[in-house]
Amino acid sequence: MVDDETPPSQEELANAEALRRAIDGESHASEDAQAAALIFASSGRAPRLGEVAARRLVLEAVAAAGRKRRTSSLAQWSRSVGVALGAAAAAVVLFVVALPDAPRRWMSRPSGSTVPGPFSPQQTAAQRLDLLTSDRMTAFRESRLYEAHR
Amino acid sequence: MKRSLDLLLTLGLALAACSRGRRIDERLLLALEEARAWQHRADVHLADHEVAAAGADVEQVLRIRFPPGAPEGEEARLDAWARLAQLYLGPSENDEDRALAEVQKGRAEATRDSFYRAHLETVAGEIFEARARRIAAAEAERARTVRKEALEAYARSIAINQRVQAALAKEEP
Repeated sequence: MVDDETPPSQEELANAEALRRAIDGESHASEDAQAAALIFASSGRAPRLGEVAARRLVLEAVAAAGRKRRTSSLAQWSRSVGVALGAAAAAVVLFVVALPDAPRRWMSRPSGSTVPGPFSPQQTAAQRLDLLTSDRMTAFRESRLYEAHR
Repeated sequence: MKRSLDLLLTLGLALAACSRGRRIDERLLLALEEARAWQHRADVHLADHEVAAAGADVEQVLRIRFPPGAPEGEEARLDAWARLAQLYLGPSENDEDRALAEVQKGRAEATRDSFYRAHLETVAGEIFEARARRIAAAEAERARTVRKEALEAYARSIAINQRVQAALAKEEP
């Protein structure tokens, strides 16, 4: 039998304080939290958000926002790299395809269009080289002339 | 994923840019000019029926140092191999073998389809035709086999020419 007149012991006071802290959301001890949850459930009201719990929620929210921002900046960096590579690819396309025909003629290349085949039996190797050398000589002079006037 | 695709695209286009080759320069022109002169010398020697001298001229073309990777250099060399094969083709089995060996050297050097590569196969066909004619009377069965080899060589030539022409048709507007 419990005597109501007897003052509470130190242990009872400590337990009561722990329970109060749990109800206020200041304690994270699982037993206290369970007890607090049972008290709240029996009284039919939601647990009150304590100052410490609120601070924890704020800190967690700030940390989550930081993580999100870091992830977002990584994605942005990836996008920038992608755009840079795309721009480089476009530059190469311009160089290869879209530039005027003249620079292409100044390049060393197969002579299929200069000395078209199949070769006739009457055409000699010397005649083929005449055509090829003449074409490449003209292209070389054009390129030198272009560079001289640039 | 997108970055990888971009990188692949860039690399592919860079390779395409490289495939355009180097600028025409003095070194290429000098090599072509020298090859041209040797081939003309061969023509002059042949006009006087000096086949050995003509062969020596054409062999000089194969000693020219063309700029590395210059397609014109490869083509001039393939043409020289084909011409040597034609010059060496004589009335004996050994002559035909020597001529075919020159064709084979040219084939081994070729790195891409070209009219010159096709020309090598045409010359191979001519050599087999000449051999078939030479042995037709004495070795009818073998002559038939050799004619089949000639047909195969001509078929290869036609196929290469068709591929080159198709590629050129795509390039030109």
